[in-house]
Amino acid sequence: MKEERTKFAVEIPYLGSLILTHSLDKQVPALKEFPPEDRPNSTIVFWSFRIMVGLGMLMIFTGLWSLWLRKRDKLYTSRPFLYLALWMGPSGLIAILAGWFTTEIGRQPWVVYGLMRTADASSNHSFVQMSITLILFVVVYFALFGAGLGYMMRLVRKGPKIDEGKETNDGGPGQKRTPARPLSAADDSGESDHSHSLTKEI
Amino acid sequence: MGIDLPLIWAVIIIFGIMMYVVMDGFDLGIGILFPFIPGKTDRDVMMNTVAPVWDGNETWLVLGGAALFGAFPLAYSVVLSALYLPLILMLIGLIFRGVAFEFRFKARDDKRHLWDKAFIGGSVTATFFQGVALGAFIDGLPVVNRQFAGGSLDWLTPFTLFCGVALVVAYALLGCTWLIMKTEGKLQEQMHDLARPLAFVVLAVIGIVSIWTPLAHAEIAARWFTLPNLFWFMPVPILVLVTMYGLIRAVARNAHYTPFLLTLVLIFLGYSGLGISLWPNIVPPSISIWDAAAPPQSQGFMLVGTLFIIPFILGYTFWSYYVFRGKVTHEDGYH
Repeated sequence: MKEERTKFAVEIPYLGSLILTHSLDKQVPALKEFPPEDRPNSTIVFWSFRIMVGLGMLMIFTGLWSLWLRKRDKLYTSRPFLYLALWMGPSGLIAILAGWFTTEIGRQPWVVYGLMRTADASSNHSFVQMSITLILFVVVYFALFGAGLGYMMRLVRKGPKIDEGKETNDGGPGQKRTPARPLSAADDSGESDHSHSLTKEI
Repeated sequence: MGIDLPLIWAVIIIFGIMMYVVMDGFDLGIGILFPFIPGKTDRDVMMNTVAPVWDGNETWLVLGGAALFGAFPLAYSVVLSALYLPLILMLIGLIFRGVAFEFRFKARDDKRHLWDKAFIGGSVTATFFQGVALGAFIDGLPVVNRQFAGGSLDWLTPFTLFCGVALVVAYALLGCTWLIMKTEGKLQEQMHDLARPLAFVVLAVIGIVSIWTPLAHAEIAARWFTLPNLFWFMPVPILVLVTMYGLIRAVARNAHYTPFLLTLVLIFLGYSGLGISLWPNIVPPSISIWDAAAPPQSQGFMLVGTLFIIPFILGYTFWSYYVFRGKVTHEDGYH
């Protein structure tokens, strides 16, 4: 970052100019043209952007691979692909977070671009007060996400059901047909439906 | 200028907060009443009476906050800075009870008590700190150079703590009468037994807050007790007593709907009393809605969108209550 040089560059000519200035030949102002105090932390942005794009590419690759496997009837049996699909599980969340980091850190030091700096916009709360509440939020979110993750793992261990959407239950009073909330969509009642689990077939 | 935009926005915000207080009031009240009802099936029923509607109720809190931010940015920055800690604690409480709605029904039997506790603790915490924030708001927030000029623990006084307790009791009464309306059998009987003492406690806390506030604030006392005003505002305390009498009578004759409706009236009266004390200040004791207003261009622009969306919110709110009308028994589940 201090050298003001880009290692690991991937270049597509014209594209950046097209997105940012809506024309092929206008120049995108370079980072070095801004005074150092108006620049964001380029190291974090550099990596968070590449993590986001890299994961996006991996998602496309996973999709294409699955199409190819499906055509050759190996979609459910190719172990390397299934492991990739498993490991791609959290990729969406990570990519979203990386994209969020890119925009939020990339726009620093401005909170309203060109008008107000983040440092001028913050309330004058004491350091202690902000630390305590931040720690409180971190603890609460870890506890609740931990519980949620535990529940999701419980569902994952049970494996998916086959013939989903072909239930004989027609709904009606006292019989739920469509779940009202995301976590209610997965049916974890009773242990009997293990026989329908796909995991047994592999 | 023909249209008084700050006035319109003040009415929208007052209406939004009112809707929030009565609607989230009764579902927070369910959590406050949980400790009185230990049985699992009864607790399931209690939760199911609000499960379809509780998160819609909190829409109004978001609407009120966003409207305050857009229409009265000065009030937003001062009030939220001054009440930072109580509001953050309220949010933490709301997070816990919101999650408890989902996880309680998914939890194994040995873990369910944890989510019961999260629901009770979250509801009580959120309500208590709402009351504390309200009390601190009534007490007034010192402002210098358009910035909050007090300390981070200024909100912590005997009066604000009492307001916190008062709101817990008031929401408990709302929840109790809501359950009388929405349940049947033994649970409803237990709520009937609880309603009478609760109503008296609510009357007591309303009385104490009504006496304490003018004693502590000369300008509020002047607002109420100078002569022409006294006659205009006298109906409020009289109606409180009449409503309370009706409420006790309705509970005594085992009415199903009347107690809840009268409690709503009671809350509305308390809210009007608060409005009379504070109007037209949006940051007591000295900043009025006109001082704190955003530029007319911003207020006008936002008004178009808001007036468009509020009928939709009211429409779907009414619809969801209509769909889930009637008694809830332990066979139902909408979560």
